[in-house]
Amino acid sequence: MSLQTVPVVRDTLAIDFGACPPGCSECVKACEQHRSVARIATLHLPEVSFHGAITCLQCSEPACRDACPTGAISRDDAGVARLDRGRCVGCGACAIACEWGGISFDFGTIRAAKCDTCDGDPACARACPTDVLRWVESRRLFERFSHPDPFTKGASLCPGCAGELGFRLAFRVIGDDAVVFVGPGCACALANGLGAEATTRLPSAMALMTNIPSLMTGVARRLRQTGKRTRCVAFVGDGATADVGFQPLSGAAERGEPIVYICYDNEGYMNTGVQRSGTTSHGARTMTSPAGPRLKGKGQPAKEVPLMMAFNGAAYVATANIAYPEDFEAKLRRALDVEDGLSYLHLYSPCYVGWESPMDSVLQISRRAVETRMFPMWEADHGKFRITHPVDQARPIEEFTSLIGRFRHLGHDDLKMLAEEAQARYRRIEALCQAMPFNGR
Amino acid sequence: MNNGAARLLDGNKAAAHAVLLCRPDLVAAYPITPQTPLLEQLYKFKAEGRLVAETVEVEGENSALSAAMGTTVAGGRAFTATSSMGLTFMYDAYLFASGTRVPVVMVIAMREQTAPTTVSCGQQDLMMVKEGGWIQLVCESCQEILDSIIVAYRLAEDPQVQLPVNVCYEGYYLSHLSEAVKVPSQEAVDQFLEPVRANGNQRPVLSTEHPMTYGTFVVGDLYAEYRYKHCQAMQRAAGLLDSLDGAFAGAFGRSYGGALEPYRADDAEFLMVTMGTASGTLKGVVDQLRGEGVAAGLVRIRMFRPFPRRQLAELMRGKRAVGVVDRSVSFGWDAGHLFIDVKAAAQDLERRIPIVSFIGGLAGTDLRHDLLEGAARATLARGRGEPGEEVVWLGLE
Repeated sequence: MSLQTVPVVRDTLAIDFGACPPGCSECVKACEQHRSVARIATLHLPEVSFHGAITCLQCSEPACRDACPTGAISRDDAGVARLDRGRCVGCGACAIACEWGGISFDFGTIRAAKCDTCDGDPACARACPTDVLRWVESRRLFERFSHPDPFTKGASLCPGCAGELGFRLAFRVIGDDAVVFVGPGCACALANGLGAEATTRLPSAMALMTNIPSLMTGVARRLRQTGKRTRCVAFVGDGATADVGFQPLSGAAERGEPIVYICYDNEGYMNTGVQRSGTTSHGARTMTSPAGPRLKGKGQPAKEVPLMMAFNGAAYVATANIAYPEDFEAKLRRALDVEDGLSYLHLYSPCYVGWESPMDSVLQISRRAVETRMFPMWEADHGKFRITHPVDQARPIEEFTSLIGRFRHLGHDDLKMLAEEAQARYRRIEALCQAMPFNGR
Repeated sequence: MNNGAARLLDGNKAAAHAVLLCRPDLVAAYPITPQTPLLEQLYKFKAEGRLVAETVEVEGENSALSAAMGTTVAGGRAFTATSSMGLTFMYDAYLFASGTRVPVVMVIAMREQTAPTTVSCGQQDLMMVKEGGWIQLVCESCQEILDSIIVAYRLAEDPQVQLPVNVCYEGYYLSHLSEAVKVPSQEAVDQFLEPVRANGNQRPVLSTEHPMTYGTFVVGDLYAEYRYKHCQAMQRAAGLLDSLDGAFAGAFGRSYGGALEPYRADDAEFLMVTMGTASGTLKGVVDQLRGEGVAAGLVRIRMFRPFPRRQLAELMRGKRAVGVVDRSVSFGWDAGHLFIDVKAAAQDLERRIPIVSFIGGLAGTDLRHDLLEGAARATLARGRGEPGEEVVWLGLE
């Protein structure tokens, strides 16, 4: 896929499924008043803790559009799926195709009816007395990352680095009342200074690959002892997290140390020149898992560190992804709120250098990783699981692997295996969500 | 003067009492023989409400020292202890603590180093970290353990030093041996070693009020400056220990002579040199030989790092021979570690004298009076011109 076709972030209607108060139908009334036939409905399924509003989600690949026999539905430049009532024949194929209940029917005119966001000013969101329905303008998204970036400009990281973006975004949420911890690796270029010059105005510590959570333990205990609420936050790569540094992380989680540990997972030892780590994807080629006549890249699936952490005593565990910054921000805030144990965030951070991808590809790769189910987005809050970004229909794995050079040596069967592993991974999280469902905080 | 009430304590318990008196903010340690009873005693104090420190049940020694470092760089006082394989397992953090000048205090209940595997006494573990940039004190008695830990915090936290300190004592021979130990009062210790105040530290501290970068990445000339200043601090520590020894004597009535303890050394014809418990037996040997009219003398090294080379050379000047008793082996030199240091210090003498390495007491075997008497007589013989081996294994058939 050419990068020119990547859709930009659109303004969108955000719905908090789970928080809609039963008995309220202000959104439906507003829509009726505004558009005669309501294009939104409330739905309450208390047995699964679902309390939300159902309307068109403005899918990027709308099934309704594909199902319409007359071509009456199309997606406009603002990302809104619009219905041309003049071409609609009232067959209802769109309503059958939509899995989300996003299409309404106007029995008066025998035509389909669907949300067009009131052209960017939805009446329902204005009418909603709670925060369940919100119109999110993309340009305002970063207002939630309100703290100034605490790191120096021009750090020695590659342009377009996902890890750097994640690190800066994280601390624009966390703010200044924090001690930042890094280990030897790419991220330390932002936090550990160089010689006598600091690279951040935060108190920061560069520890070892092998002792970051332990050093944090000592600092955090002392800060608490002296009555401070300053948070200890680590931003550490997958090598120090999943491999050589896993022991102290496991220990800190088991002891319930109230520290925030963010692993930026670029799936390899990138700072030392791209070697495989425990989280490197199955089949990916690196300098120590090369591809050739007798080797096909890494021979084993990745360690699932977030799951390990969820079963290792961490109070809060979430996967996050810089292509979904609002989700990252929300999870980070939750992580900072948790004080009765360790919070672990696993941040998907493609390294285009090590992954042999174009310099401007990391967001596209990150998004595709979610859409192909390669990287499930979920959280476990005190043992209760939920998928935070459901992917009901996985995109073909090739839409992910074709963006990444380090999979280029893989054949059809290898990719099939990767896809199957991704599905199994996703289903495993789904099963956990069913077994230990999330019922609110 | 408050020199304390006498209690019957083994070395580990004496250490635990010292730690309690030093009011640490955090204790983190991982169980390993023969250090474990020290750890258990500290938890007993905590259960009784006497120890108010944070305690961290770490998952390994590298984390034990790291947690202690964390609290120390955040302005607190921390303690840890280990032995043998635990010490080498924390080598990562060990080097980091000294290189970043973290004034933490750690006991080493000394033990042989695997392999072959054993849990018995030796000094090999200390020798594995002697170049690690820490100040290292080696004790002879349970009383000295207690006193040295109190002094160690003064030494470590002194703004002119800012270095981590090991207080070392031999496993079983001291860790599990009970002696009468005078335990000073809390008030007396508080007078000597000021309790940590929340904001009263003189050293840079990780805090949001005065942000600093800890463990910064260093290249080029600045790296040499770090090393140079570390060495300068080491040398200041050597001088400070001598004055602290005097201050401690003033406060508690006990003195150990500073970096080394000479015993009947001034007018001696030859010297024995050792560290730790063997010195007690050697004092008996010296007395016996003196009774026979032989001018034997002893120097016990207390401060192994920084090594008191000049004071030692001064004591060796004019002697006819030196015998060094080691409870460890330096592979490659195939001699004792302390022997190598003594030999290097003897380079400052105007005249070459025979220096003999005696290796014994490995894996907890007794350095008996008869073995050490043999060593002393062999040293005397070398001093009087008789030929002999440079390295002698005591008790090895």
